Amino acid sequence: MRYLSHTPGDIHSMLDTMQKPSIESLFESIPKTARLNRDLDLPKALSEIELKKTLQKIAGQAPAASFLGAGAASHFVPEIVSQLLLRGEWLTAYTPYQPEVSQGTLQAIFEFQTIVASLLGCDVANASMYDGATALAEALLMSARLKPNAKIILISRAVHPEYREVCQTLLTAAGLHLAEIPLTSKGTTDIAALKNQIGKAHGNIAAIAYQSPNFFGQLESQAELIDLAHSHQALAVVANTDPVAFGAIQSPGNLGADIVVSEGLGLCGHLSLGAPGVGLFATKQQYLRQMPGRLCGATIDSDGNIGFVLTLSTREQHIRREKATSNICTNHGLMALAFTITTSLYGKLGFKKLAKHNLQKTIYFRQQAKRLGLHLLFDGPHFNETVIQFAQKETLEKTLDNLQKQDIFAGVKLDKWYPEYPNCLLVNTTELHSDDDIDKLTHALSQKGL
Amino acid sequence: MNQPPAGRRNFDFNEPLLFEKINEGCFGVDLPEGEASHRIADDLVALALGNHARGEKETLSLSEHSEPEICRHFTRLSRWNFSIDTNSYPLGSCTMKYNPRINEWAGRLPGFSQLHPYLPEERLQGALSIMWDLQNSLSEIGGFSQTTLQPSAGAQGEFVGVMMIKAALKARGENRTKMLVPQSAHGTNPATAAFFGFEVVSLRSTPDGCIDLEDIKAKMNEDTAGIMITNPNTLGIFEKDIVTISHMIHDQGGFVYGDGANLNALMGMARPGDFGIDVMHFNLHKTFTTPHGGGGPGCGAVGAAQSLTPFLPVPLVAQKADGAFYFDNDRPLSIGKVRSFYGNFGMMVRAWTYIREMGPAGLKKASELAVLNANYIRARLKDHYHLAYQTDCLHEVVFTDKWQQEKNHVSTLDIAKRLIDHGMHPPTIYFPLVVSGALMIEPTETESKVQVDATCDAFIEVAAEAKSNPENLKSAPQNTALRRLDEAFAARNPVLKWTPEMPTSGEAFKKYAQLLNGRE
Ligand SMILES: Cc1ncc(COP(=O)(O)O)c(C=O)c1O
Repeated sequence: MRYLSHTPGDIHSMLDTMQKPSIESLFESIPKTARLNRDLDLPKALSEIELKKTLQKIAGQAPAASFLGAGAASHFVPEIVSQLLLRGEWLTAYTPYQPEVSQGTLQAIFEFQTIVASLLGCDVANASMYDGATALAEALLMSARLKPNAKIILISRAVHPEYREVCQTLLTAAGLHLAEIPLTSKGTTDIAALKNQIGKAHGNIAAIAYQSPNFFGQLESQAELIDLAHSHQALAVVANTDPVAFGAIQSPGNLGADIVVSEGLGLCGHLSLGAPGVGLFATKQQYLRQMPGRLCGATIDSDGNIGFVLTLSTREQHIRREKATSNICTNHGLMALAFTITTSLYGKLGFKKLAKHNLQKTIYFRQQAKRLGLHLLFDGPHFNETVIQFAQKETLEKTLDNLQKQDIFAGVKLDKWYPEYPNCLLVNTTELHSDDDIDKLTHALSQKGL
Repeated sequence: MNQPPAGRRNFDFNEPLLFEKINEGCFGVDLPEGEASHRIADDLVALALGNHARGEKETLSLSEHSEPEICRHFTRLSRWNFSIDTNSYPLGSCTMKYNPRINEWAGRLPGFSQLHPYLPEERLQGALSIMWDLQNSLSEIGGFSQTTLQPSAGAQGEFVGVMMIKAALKARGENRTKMLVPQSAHGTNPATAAFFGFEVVSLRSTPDGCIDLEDIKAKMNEDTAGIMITNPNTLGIFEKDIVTISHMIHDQGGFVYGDGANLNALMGMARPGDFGIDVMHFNLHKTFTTPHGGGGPGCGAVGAAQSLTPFLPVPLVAQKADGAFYFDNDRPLSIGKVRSFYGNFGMMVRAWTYIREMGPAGLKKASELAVLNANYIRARLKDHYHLAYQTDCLHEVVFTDKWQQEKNHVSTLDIAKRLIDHGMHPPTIYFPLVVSGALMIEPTETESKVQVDATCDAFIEVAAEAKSNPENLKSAPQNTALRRLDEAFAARNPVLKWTPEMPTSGEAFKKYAQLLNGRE
């Protein structure tokens, strides 16, 4: 076995040193009744040659073209990102508990926190969460800690359905009540209905949560939602599933949002069936002590030089145990690094340009779609998602089938989560799509020859 | 033996923060330009944004660098990290074994890495077959009836497991309020139990390092949901009474949660499901070689016995009669979804690759050698450091600083920092909390005898130095670019991001940090 270096001689001499007769004897502390007395029933070992062939066969090809976004939009990530992640010093280091030999990871986390705080418009960001959905759930749990007498959380129906499901699981477990804010006909959070809900809750609201750009790509009236939360002593919690938007739209934190979370998957380089990406989490300075997750801070060493350490760990499970703000330990460090490298490559200028390209492609898609007679369900301010509604279910299904035969995936059907929007397709258009790709798609969707 | 220490001086580079040394106007990505869509005018773009456009004053703290500069920045930073690839990393409880590069190749195959989670199931059959296989392999290795791959890390696995226990109790119409947790448990255990509102009831250990059965007898009752147990425990000791403990808990209607962080001691030797664990998280980023990545991502798959299987999160991967795989969301008793999509699929591919390459005999051999290495270290160091417990250990061993403290006023922290000067990564320190000044060493199976000897030599030299020259330990590390860092200052004066005002000299930084935090 190529990963194991012990020769029979080594084993012999080690056992001698220990005065033990055999390796078997080292397991004597396991009582007979607790032992497995057979071989594990697993397929036999493969050599690397066989393994590669097997894996190649299972993996097959990447899809030819995809307009699937819905919380997992791809963006262009330069090849160097994946190559840098393969440096063993990044890949095979542990959590930086010994700062003197982990300054690389620590400085990178400090840079990550700086970038995330500025993208989300907040004072402070943590060292990462698992994903956007758990980051949102943790944000809502945090708001409940900050508003200990309030048990209700209002969440917009335009928040990613899977994020809402995850919040439902975690918040219910914590004894909180999650209620949904309905939608307007424009595909945005219904503020009039929200006011009504607030009235009925009698000050029992810990947080109001929305997503912008929302699940349908529409931009929410952030300032109004945040003001509404604050005027009712609730926290404004904002989710986002594609931080590229912040190259073009207002950052929620800059508008006064209390906690902002996002998902960095699209900038990490590999969709990998939706994970691992990286959960981004940021808040106001005043709420720092209630934050979940690791934080990296700057300090000085005994020679007086600036360096970095993990800090404020009295919030965390390894110090505070049952009184910790969260049980999170391992986070998504390597993906946070990928996110840091990618955003640094784009840089100040490139990041804004990236956002602009997403808008241009989406505007182009919408222009072409309209020209070909496709119906856009929502036509308000937007980022890089568009909902196309078909007159008939059959047309939609047939079109999708035809495209799928060419290994092209046109969008995500909404009816699985939104029965009120039948025959609708959520189409994601980004800098990765050429005009040609978009032309082909619009023609296929409208069933007109190119 | 008597090789020169692994650590030596080397040339290294200062590297400022990304934002400190910008190259105004530079960027590191070229996007396409020439298409019609790229000529869509700014006013149309503005129109699409309505009144949501980013304001002039909303600055972005991003760098301005070309690709070569970014490459150099992150290459230089990487060199300041200790890693498994550079030398032994015997962090107890973390299983820092070699991370095979074939895993990285596998995870990057376009047929896996470019899959969108909402592709139709027909288009995901390869990925689903990997998940199906891995679910089954982990069930076999752990002795469980079914396994979910959804949790992102061990702590989330604990969350899932305890929630399942809670759901099972609720299904029986019971609302138990307490959870037994041994004092030696990892912090995530009590943090998880407390999240669900369980009162955490601490369990004592006996002088042999195992849980005190009498204590369980006294504390287990019909108000208690069960126990969270790590086996081998965080002292590296197998809980010899585990079968009895499981019976005691089950007899009173409770459940046994297993923290599987230490599974690397047991593969092919014993299965938690067989010794009474009802639900357990695996750490694929420990036992099954997915990389630690400076703190994740991991995968905290959870295996369940028959009794708890109905409560596993949705979806599970299942197989139809015709052999096709699908996501089974139709599980009425499930606790629900605990994260977006299907879990860290990229990590699942890596763990699958490892298990497939090792095979059943390879996995068993890995556990055997992990235990051999740990016991060898125990034998070589036991005259130099105080052993926390005399009981036989499995894959890791815990020493303390007792002798060094008593004789030379040298602490575990000093020993750890001095090991760095010998080119070693320190062991896990001050954990478990039940051992005062713990030094927890887990060598793993992928360290050769030569390497393990070098590790022991370093420990022995440091112990000798503690006697001859304790000051060297207290002022360690001396070989690193930065010396001991002031963690108390960081916590008292948190500076958590760069600002244009942040000074680059230590003196000025101190003032800045204090001022920022309202201190003069
Ligand atoms: C014994 C034990 N339990 C639980 C955990 C938590 O696992 P994770 O960091 O994957 O969340 C760890 C890892 O640090 C551990 O060592």
